[in-house]
Amino acid sequence: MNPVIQRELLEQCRNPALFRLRLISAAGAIGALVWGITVWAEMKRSGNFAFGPWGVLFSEGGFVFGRVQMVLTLLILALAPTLTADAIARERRESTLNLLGLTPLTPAAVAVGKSAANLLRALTLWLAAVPIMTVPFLMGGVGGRQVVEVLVVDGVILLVGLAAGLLASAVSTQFRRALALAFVLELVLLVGVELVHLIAVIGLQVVLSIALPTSRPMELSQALHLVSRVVTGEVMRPLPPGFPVLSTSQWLASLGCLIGAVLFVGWLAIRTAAHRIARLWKEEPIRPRTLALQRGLTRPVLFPGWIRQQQRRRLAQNPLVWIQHRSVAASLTRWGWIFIVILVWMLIATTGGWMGGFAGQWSVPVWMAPLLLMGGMAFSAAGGFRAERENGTLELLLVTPLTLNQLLQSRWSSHIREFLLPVVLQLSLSIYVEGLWRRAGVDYSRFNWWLLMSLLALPAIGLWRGLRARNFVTAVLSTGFWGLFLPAALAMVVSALGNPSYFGGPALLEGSGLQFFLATRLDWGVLPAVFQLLLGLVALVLVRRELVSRQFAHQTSGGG
Amino acid sequence: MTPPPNAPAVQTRSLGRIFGSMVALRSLDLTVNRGDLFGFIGSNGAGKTTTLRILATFLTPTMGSAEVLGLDVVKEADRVRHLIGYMPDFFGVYKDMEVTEYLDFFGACYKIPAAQREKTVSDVLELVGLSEKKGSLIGALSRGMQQRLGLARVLIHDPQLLLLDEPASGLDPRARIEMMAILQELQRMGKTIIISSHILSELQSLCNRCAIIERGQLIYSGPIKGVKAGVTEARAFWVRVAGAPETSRELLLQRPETQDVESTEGRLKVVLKNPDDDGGFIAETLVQGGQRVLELREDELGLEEVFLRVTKGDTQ
Repeated sequence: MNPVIQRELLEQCRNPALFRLRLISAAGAIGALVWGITVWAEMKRSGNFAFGPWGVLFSEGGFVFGRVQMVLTLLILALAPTLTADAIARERRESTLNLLGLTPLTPAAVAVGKSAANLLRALTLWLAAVPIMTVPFLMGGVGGRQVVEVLVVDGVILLVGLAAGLLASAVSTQFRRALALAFVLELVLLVGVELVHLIAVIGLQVVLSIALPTSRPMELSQALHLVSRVVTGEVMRPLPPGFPVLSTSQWLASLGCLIGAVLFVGWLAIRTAAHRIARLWKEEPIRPRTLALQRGLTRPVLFPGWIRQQQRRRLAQNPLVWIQHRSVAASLTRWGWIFIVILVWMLIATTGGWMGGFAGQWSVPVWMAPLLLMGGMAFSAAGGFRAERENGTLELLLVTPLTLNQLLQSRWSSHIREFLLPVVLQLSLSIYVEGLWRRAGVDYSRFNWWLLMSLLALPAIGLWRGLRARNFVTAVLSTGFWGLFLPAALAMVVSALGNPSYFGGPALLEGSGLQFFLATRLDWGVLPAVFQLLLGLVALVLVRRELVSRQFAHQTSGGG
Repeated sequence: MTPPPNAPAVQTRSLGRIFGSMVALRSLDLTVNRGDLFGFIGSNGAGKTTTLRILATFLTPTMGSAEVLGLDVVKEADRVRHLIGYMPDFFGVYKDMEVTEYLDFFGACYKIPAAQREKTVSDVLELVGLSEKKGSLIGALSRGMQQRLGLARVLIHDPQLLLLDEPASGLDPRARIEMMAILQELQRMGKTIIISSHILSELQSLCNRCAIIERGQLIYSGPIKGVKAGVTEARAFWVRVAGAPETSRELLLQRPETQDVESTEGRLKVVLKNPDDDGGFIAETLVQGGQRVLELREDELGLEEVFLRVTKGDTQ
């Protein structure tokens, strides 16, 4: 057995984070199950049924299976890169990568070992959710094709996520940067898989003359859209009338091409990672090109004199805000988020979102941009004090004459500034579109409230969790839990107290002024924002206490 | 922001710190005089870093008190921070920053006016020998240079007391020697320096006073010379003569001042009865007895040997 796999598996057995991730996986599946059953019951009551991916009316089991699957797919998308993002980076930080280089192991063996061990780890996460996935089967109506597609899609996303993490890990030594890069690479590789798949399908048609539909891009191969459909939630929406159904041979050929494409991309990733490991083993000095790039990202390019003068002024005003925004890389991050918001709205505008996406409160385009932004805020805030905690500068800052309040306020406002423009853009666009489609019942105010309050509360919660958590992944996940999940859950409980249908008979809050309040505007969309604000304030107090007690100084800090 | 005059640089009284169930520091009474280059010696986990962190105002003591230049480190932490420069046992650098940016940033944190900062940065870089690297990215500097940059950061606000935790760890011999030379220069400039290190031979030649700490307790505090006297039972001299040492041994054993003479690898170790005896009789006896003396020196214990004798090697 490859000793790298052996060592990784041994280490994983002793790591409590793996057990927590399995718990998250199972909890996510249970939540999705409850959600699916509730929505199905509501649809049954209102007579509004959903269609499956092939235009077939969903059965109860098939519908619930789809919901559980969608949540699992999102979990795999989020968790797979985190498993490998620290695989090589940590070895580099702890200087053990060079020790491997002294053994007869080849770079490829190390890359394969890391990938295989983490693939096994990922499979255990998936297996944790399997018992819950059997419930929809018991309900009946889960199609064979649906199951196979789901397995293929999960496998594709899992492999792509792991490959992205591995590549990012080979490039960066810092876990936080590697993880951010891994998410970007994951999207790029997913597009790459689709492209390779497209080429494979066309090639298959030419070589074997298998009749796969090519008349329109949408129909070129339905399998081509498996990934994007599941990822974007399209799987839950009715397909356009006349959407062709593939024959078994066409379907199998498409799936085969998809599997081939992802295996090709996975092989390419392992090869690239191995090449990078070989370079690291040679301990070659930093290339002048890399140094020039690093310098380019930290030095102003346009109007350097004027920008330096501005930076000096900022530094004199508040050094902690200056350090957060001094580099071009920080600006690139900010503009990157603006680009993502614009990209999402362009997708909405060009893919029929004007007709379908805007009207439905739960349609993907409506929540995609806010959710991405909130995820980005949680990620950024959880890393707020983390980098300084890891490189030791937090200890140095705490013995300067800067007060704790200055330190906290500066860091909190820096995170707000980082996301202010993208959030303002998102809010402006959604308010504008809401104005255009108000008659069609479009109402984005819930998301807007939530997003606005996230901008204020998530930085505080992230700073607190970043100091408390032992590793960055836990910090991000717990920021998401305290900042997003808990406010939503609390709001649902409060809403349920005011709704007679939840408990039967009169509502618990019936007759009170609170019920009227809940029934008018302060529904679950606004309530989470209120709870978020309260939790944000509590987090500010707690992070201050954390800094005073210096508890973080006695914990080991590291990556994942 | 003038500290009280005549107060010692550091004074701790029954200083203690507990982390959960672990006692990191117990009842430490320590005095460091102004202008001292003070060595702080102890095994891993002995409590050195905890003491330095308390003095740097990073940690608060669980019991007792500590004063830096007459100011209480808890009650007057803000004033103390202007007077001390703390260098932890890790680099604490932003690797994607340039050298001057890094120092400029910490200068701003210490509220040095912008007009003054440029000159100060230039001065401290010159002092630590990094003037040529001012435009370099920190990530591209060698370990020794990063360590020197850390020292430059400590000096940026011209502190009176430097707290240096393992400043030479991981450095190559040349970088270590250069670092020690800089510290001696800083002492000449009037700074008080507390330096914790595992390289005891260097502390021996560098420091005028030292403290030895074990399991959070002070074992010794005072001059370097004093610690050696404290552990040496009797005074001894090493003698090397031309020819066979047996005749010399017999000559020396006949003297009433001699307690014992051991012959080891062609040399003689002469142990005296009275520790106050200066050993002058040894040369006199041997020359009068017709022996040619090639070497005569006092048997001195190194700080490393002293450390091993006074500590039990316990860690917590």
